Amino acid sequence: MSKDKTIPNKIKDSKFYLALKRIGAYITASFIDFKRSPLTIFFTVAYPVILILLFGAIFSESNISSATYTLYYQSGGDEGFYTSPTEFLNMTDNLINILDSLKRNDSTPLFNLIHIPHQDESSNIIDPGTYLEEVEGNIALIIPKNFTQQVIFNPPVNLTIILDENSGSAGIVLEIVNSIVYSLNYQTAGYNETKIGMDTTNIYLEEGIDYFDFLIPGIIGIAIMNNGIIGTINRYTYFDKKGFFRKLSSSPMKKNQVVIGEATWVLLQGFISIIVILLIGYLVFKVGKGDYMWIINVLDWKIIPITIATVLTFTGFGMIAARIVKNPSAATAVGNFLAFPMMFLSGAFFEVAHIPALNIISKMLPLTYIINALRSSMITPNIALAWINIGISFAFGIVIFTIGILVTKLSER
Amino acid sequence: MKEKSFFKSIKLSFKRMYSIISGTALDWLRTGPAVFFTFIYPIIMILLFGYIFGAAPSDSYYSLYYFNEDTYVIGDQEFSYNPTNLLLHNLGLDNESIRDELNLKLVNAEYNSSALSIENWMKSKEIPYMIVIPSGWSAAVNESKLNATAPVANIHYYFDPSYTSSFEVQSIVQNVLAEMNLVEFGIPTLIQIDTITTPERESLDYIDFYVPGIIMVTISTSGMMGMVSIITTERQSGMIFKISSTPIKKWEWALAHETWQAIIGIVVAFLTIITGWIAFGFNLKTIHPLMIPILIFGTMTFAGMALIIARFVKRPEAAMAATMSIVFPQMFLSGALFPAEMMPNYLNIIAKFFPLHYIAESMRATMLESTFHNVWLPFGITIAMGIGFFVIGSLITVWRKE
Repeated sequence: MSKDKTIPNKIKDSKFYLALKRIGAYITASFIDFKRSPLTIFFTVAYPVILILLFGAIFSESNISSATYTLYYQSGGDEGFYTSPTEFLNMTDNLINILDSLKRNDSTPLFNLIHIPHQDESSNIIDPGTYLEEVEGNIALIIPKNFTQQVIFNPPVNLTIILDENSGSAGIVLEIVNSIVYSLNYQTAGYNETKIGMDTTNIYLEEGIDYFDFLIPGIIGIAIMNNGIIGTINRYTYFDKKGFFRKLSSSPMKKNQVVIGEATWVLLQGFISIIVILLIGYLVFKVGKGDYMWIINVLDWKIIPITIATVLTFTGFGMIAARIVKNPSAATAVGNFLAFPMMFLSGAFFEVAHIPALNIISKMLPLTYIINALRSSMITPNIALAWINIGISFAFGIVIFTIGILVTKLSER
Repeated sequence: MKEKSFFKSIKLSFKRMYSIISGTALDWLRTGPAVFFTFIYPIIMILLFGYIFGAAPSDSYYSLYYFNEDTYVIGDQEFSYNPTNLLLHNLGLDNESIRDELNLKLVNAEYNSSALSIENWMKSKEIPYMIVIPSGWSAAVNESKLNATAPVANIHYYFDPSYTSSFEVQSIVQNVLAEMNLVEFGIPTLIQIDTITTPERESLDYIDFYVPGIIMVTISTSGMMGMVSIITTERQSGMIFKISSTPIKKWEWALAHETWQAIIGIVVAFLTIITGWIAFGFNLKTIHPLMIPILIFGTMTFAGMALIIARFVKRPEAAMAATMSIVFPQMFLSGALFPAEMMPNYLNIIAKFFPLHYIAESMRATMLESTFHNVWLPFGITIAMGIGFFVIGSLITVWRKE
């Protein structure tokens, strides 16, 4: 009787053990394959490095604030005015001096001021708007002739701004010039300061979090997503072409073991990506104010379930896509089709909540919840929000991965 | 006799190239999803970036939460003091024209100050930005009208730094307050700003500048990645080795593949333009015939780069990673998606090392008559790159079995 009980258990254990062995063999094979190609190692590690260096350089606040804006200007000439026998006022010079003296936090000038001449070398009159287009500038300030005397005797006086409405930096320069003009109006009226003001509070000031900290989880999510989708599609179409799947179908290896092996391998690569991104963030961009404890603090244990959910979701997508297309170039198109919109609509770099149509699409994308879960676990930290997003991410992951397993067929390949 | 054989060899070259192109086209056409995904990708890209960066103001509002503590109650009703009322009105509360002008939608914050701090409440509700008008703010403003030494009457602006728009919204509120300063304190406006648009760009919209960039980004991404994967897979399957035993020459094979990429590129460009026109009213007048050679030489550049990558990186997986390592920085730094002017100077210098920078520059310069004179340098570089990468790619391609 006792013998009867032990035999089925043994078989069960042995099946489970064999399954684990086969999955282990798949992972080992993937690892050996990976290890033997130094370029693959380089690019698996280099890719997340490029991502963080690239997006860090573009989006980090220190870099945004180090941009110097080019402002073209033209003045009709200003004779100035003696407001008292000893006091000479030239508002054109004052305005240019104010613009020229504005500095950033790192003491670099805010504006690169370039004068637009009135005439060209052939003594033709230069139209500042046309000139601005020819030099591919974005914004020009036109100060009228005898600006000072006009302000004193014939107010209000218009300063003309010619701008390219499609230029983001022109909009920023316009805002700055606007605020300078407001303060000139106050000063001329004898006010040293404005009476209605606004103080600002960063709600994450206490935690010492700034914009770049929020980029890190986004970059992690994107790195794992790209590896999951594009990596899986490429591996599967490659295995398909090589007849590797057909060979596997004649071995004791089962389909779900291949799929679990693949997902585990992507998971391991995901963890490598996380470590690389955190290290580069800390070493190059001094995230966490350069304190090495930052890395320890952000390595919350919830990253493990989130990464698993991410891998399930995107490996699943990769498997589904690889099933739909077998042609390698089409596989690339499918990978791009899936990965690109998600990258930009998930809120990894900028939010799209203010655009209703995109906001709805964004809420349908798994990467949105994965990035939210990573942010709430690693950066903010907001446990309730983290678990809601982890739950949604897992729901996506389980459904997509299950579909991926169902559509994957070794025998037909 | 010699002349005859020369023309015959050219004819044969064309025949061989045609057979490669038709073979690739057939393979592509027979994979239904390949056709669908190759063409859906540029459509998705233009729709995506068109909506993100060029969404009509009427479609998009920043939701600014407000918590007004400066109120009094009569019976069951709550009223605001003045100038709090005026501030909320100037921010677009119950006023659609101001709301549209500022792109701001005021939302009353249902915040209970006794339960949570404002910061924690905003975090829990994922609120990006909120203004708080403190109790007594109106009185403080009125006091400063009578007393020059009265302290500044501040409202509070709370923001979540993860939202890039938080600085934009802050700037909108600051300008409204600056305007209120002038009005409330009777300060005469001596200087004001009159804005006009650059003459030729007046008729152009954001999307008009995006379409050429998106075309080149799509072609560079799908062209490079697609060609690298075709070559590495053909090499792995032994197809290239088999071709080496045929009369097909290496340059014919390379040129045939590049021609195929150019054909796809032209179709992709056409689709992008049509989608941009239907969805966002892309200005078709900006299209210039010079865009076609730019497109062809641009495609040749990317195909040539793909040949070079495929020469040194043998495995499809590694080749894809290598391609992405070039495609990604190129895409973001070229100024095609994000304006180059917004980036720090050193990134603009790095951008000049990527071919897409010159190709996107020449595409943009052709759009306006006033900037057309700027097209020749980037166009020249584009031609040089197209030929250079093609020659190098063809020369270094190895067909033997390794």
